[in-house]
Amino acid sequence: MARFVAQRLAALVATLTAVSIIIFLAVRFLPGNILDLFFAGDNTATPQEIAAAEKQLGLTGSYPEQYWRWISHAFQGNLGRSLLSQQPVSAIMGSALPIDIELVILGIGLALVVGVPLGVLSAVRRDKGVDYFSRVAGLVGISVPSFWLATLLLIFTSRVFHWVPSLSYVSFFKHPIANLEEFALPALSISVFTLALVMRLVRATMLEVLNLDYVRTARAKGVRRRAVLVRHALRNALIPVVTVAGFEVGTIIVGAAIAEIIFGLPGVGYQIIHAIFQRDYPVVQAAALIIAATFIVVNFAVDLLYGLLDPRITVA
Amino acid sequence: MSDNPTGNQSPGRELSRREFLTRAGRFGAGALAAGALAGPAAAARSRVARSAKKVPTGGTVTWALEQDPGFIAPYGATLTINHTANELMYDSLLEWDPKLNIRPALATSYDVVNSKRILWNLRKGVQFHNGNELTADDVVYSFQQIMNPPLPGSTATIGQVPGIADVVRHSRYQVQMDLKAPDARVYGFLAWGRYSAIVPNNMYSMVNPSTQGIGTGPFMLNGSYVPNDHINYVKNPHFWKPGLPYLDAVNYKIITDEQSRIAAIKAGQIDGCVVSSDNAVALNGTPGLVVLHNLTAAFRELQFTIKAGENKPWADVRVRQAINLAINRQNLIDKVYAGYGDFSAHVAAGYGPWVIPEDQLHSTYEKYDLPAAKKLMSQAGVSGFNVTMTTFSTPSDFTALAALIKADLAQIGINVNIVPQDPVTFGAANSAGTFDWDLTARGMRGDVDGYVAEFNPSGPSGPTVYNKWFTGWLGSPGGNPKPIWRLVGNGRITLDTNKRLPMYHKLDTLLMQQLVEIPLISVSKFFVVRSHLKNMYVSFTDFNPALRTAYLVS
Repeated sequence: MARFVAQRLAALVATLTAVSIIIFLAVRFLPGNILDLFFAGDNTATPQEIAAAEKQLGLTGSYPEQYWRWISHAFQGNLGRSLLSQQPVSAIMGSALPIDIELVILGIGLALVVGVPLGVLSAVRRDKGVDYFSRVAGLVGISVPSFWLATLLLIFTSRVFHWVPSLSYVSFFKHPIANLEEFALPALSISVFTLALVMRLVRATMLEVLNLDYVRTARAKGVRRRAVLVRHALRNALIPVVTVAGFEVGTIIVGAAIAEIIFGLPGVGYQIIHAIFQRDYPVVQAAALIIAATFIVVNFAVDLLYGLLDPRITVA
Repeated sequence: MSDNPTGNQSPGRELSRREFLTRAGRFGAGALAAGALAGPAAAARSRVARSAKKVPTGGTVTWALEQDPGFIAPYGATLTINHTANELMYDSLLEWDPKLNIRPALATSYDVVNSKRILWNLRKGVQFHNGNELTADDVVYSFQQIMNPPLPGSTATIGQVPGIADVVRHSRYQVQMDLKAPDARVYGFLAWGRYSAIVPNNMYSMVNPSTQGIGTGPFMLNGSYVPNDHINYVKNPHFWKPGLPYLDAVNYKIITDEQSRIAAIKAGQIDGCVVSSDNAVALNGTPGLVVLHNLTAAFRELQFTIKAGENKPWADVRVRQAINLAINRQNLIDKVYAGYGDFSAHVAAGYGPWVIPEDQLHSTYEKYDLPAAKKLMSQAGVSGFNVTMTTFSTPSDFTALAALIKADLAQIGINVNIVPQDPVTFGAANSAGTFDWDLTARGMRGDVDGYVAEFNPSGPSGPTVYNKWFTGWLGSPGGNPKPIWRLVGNGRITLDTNKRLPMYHKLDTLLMQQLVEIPLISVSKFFVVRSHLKNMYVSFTDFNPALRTAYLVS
């Protein structure tokens, strides 16, 4: 196990290094930089003034030099400063990250808490009313884009209930109720796709598992139906669900970026979208690296979870 | 203080349902004239009527900003939203009234010593938000920052600053300003206020200028600006204008998505916001909401590059004139802006007496005349050509305009390939002059010179604009830029407004014949406000100074 973890950690570091290079180059290969935003159009700044601004913002030097400057500072905990606001990027990410963490946890949590039981119910009650309902709802959930649903939820609540979520971010640790009120709609909008996916997956795997010999044997031995479903069938049916949930973290993060724009939550996705439009390299790099690292770490955790869910799967 | 771009635009108007129905059904110059904005007299009457009753005070207004300013430092910011976000906090030496008349602000008067020296007499007893009194040292410090903006600003705004050589203390309440040359732009620049905030001496070392600030304005920061989230202001109890502001607080909430802003105002979470023309039409008549509109300085225009040695079809002035005649501007206004807009020449429509009158634009300079356009193309020996027109991908009105222009120009054989780009990509190509045609927008300028400076190669914008865009203008078929160069140069150093006015009228008519840029239309901006928020108007400047004097009724 220790060797497996060490190998995966080494792969994680290598992946992150590659990702950091790709991110660094990707933002620089976009046409223009922040000075083009500042100096666009009919302004009358001279080439000398533009060069001075370039130096002032630290945009001088070759790409390898700039990359080394960024990555070596990052290892020391200094992610640089926003080119636009001159705020430390670590402070920007520090205030943005809790929003994404909460959104992702709520989004995935909602998808699992609702999707898994609904999938089980749908499988157990196959071709009954609840099954038809779940299948149709699942199809709709997979088809509906999260940005559309988010906008629709916002318009619906404002028109019907004359209510929209709070306009300013409220920390869960300060005002838990207000925080959950604020996050309910964004979390719902980003979780629907994953919820539908999980529900359909659980239904399909449960139907398969329920027909296997060991389940029939357990039933024949007189094990209670509930115990068979939960201990024997569901546990095995959850392995692909864990895999999908791991991958879906990426989908949820992407959905979160859109939901943050629509609901005015200044999370990492919100920051990255604005920073890309402004070519604010340090913010884009830090935000993209955080998102990539999250995705990689979650999938690493998923690998470890396999062994816990099914002792037959070894990591040697 | 008469060197001003006095406007004939009202401080903004409410939209009535009747007006919407009327606008929706009419197309044509006559109808547009009938819908023209109310004049100064009407605005003055409404102010007199209002002053007769007691204005309620107190309350908090929450206003949605449609973009994050990035920072709220007063110097070196190029985004319009930056000034919208900090304008409640700061004052300049001069200010504009809602009709763009220049009036005293932190300077009560000035003495013109000679054509290159001005003495500014400061208002006594003005307090900054930190309790310090305004003195000449503060003004000197402020101008040092204006002329060399520190981070988080950039030097990009220096080009907007008049040719100030130095600003020095003359006495505790008097400042001496020396100019490099006679410069008529000074007064408008100071009244505009966008780049000329007066801050306390050494403010940048006292606070974090990205998120904090100290000014003399009617509101002061409550805490710090939280990027991508909010900026909260509270009333300045020591504001130098007695009785103002009426409101206790103004909170800005950054909501970039328009549908989210609309949902928020319907739910009562905000008191006002900017919306597009389509949504303004849709929201008109909603109980409890009021839609306001006014022209702003942000007119749309078609820019070309005419480079030496390239000999593109539009280097011939007749082709450019044909393009101008083939674009149906009223159709652009009706289809894209729900009928709310005016024709504009190179000086933005609504920019006081400096503009070419609307009727002349409709009848002569910007007349839609397809047969004449085809004839000019024929005379130029051009049967048609392909061209790429780049524009902004957002807001969506640019691509909608581009599509209509493409359809118009197809009628004279020009096949336009539209390429929408994000602002930075667009800006990079625009600055470098690596475009053929750009469909773009202009903005507010402190002085009329700001609209024409780029047409003079020896001016400050010569190296950065003219020499990248127009190197082939002189010597091109029909190209005659020299009278324009002279007028731009002389207009800037002519201090007498009465002499300047005919110069700029002549200049704009020459530009409308040469058409190295084709101005299209000035568009209206729309606010939706809750009906309890009064005294609001849409400012021609594209900012939101109305919140300085707004009030709430129960």
